[in-house]
Amino acid sequence: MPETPTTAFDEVTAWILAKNPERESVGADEDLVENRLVDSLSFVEFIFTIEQAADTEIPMDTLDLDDLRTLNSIRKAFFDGRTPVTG
Amino acid sequence: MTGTATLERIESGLPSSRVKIDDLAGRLGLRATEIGVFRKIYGLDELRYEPGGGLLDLVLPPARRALEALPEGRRVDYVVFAHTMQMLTPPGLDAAPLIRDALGLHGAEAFAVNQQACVSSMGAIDITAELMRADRGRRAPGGYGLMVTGERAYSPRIQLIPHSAIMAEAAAACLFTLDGPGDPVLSYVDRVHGEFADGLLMTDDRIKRFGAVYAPELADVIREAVAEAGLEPAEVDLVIPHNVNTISWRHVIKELEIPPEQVFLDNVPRLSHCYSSDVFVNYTTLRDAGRLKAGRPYVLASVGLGATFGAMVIRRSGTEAA
Repeated sequence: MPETPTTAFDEVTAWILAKNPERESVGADEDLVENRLVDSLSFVEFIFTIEQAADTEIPMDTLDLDDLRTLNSIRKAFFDGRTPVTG
Repeated sequence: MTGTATLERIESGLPSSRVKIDDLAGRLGLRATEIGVFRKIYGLDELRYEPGGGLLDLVLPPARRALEALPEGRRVDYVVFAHTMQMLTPPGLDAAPLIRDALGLHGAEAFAVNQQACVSSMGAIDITAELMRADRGRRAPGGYGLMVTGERAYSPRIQLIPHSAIMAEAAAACLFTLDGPGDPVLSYVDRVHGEFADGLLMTDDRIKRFGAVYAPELADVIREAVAEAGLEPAEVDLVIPHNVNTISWRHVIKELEIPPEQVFLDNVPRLSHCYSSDVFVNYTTLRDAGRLKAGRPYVLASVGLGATFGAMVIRRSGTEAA
């Protein structure tokens, strides 16, 4: 069972774990796309989850796909960007 | 004579009207974020779409060009209309004989194949080649088949595959025979997964399951077709795919453990997914760009909702030295 989110960013990790119940954790620099932790069918939901957790609108016109590749890059791009993810 | 199907001439046609996917947001009920995902994540950008265009206006031009390769004095025994959506004409109108008659091929048998959705174009060639082999002794030898594709995105309901693709318009035609000088079909493999028969009406859980099997199953079908052709994946010059989106193909590429450049994805942002036509449209793009090499093998690969996974291995006619 994924842990209950304790910070806004944890909501992103929790969403990924909920989508991948066989996983207990997600590496901070694990490629979410290449490793199919976010599949093509749920990308829109994934974006909305990040937007909701970060309380921001992701500008799709200027979005760099690399910003969505790992937990660390997501944190850096859409959250504070200073604290590295260790999970 | 081996009875090998040979692709003698492949042609394609596109509506002239180019549309950015952003311009379809209203029609398809897509929010800005969803359009953004289609653009940034799925690799779509532009497509051909001509509202109100007629079916025959789309289908006939490439079919006529393909027929130009019919040798003098030879005949077409079969006209097969391969399409994805079940209904393309009003009730009471059967498109296949209409196409046959418009092409002046009155002596040919005409029928449609659409049970394999976007794999139907390859399936139609496989089915018709088998009919032609069975015809031996019943018909004069040397007959040809004409497979045609092309359909209109006449409703938003059939233009959007949620979370996967925005459908576009194109047409293609393939003139083929048995044991001719064209590109021989070395193998054809398809697999049907009936659990996904609801297609566009699948539940979220079923869509998730479809997403989970999509890449490994398509990769496995490609591997099986390549093996049946007596080849290794590394020997294939290019995979000529359907244009569903780039992220699905990235997953297939990872499953196949082949270099990304071994799959031709250039038409995904240019044309998007054109129902059953993609692999043949992409073939003509590559051929016209001089990228198909004589004597080299190519894999045509597609997935149809319903769900069918299909792959056909062909060898470009001629010799490598040529």
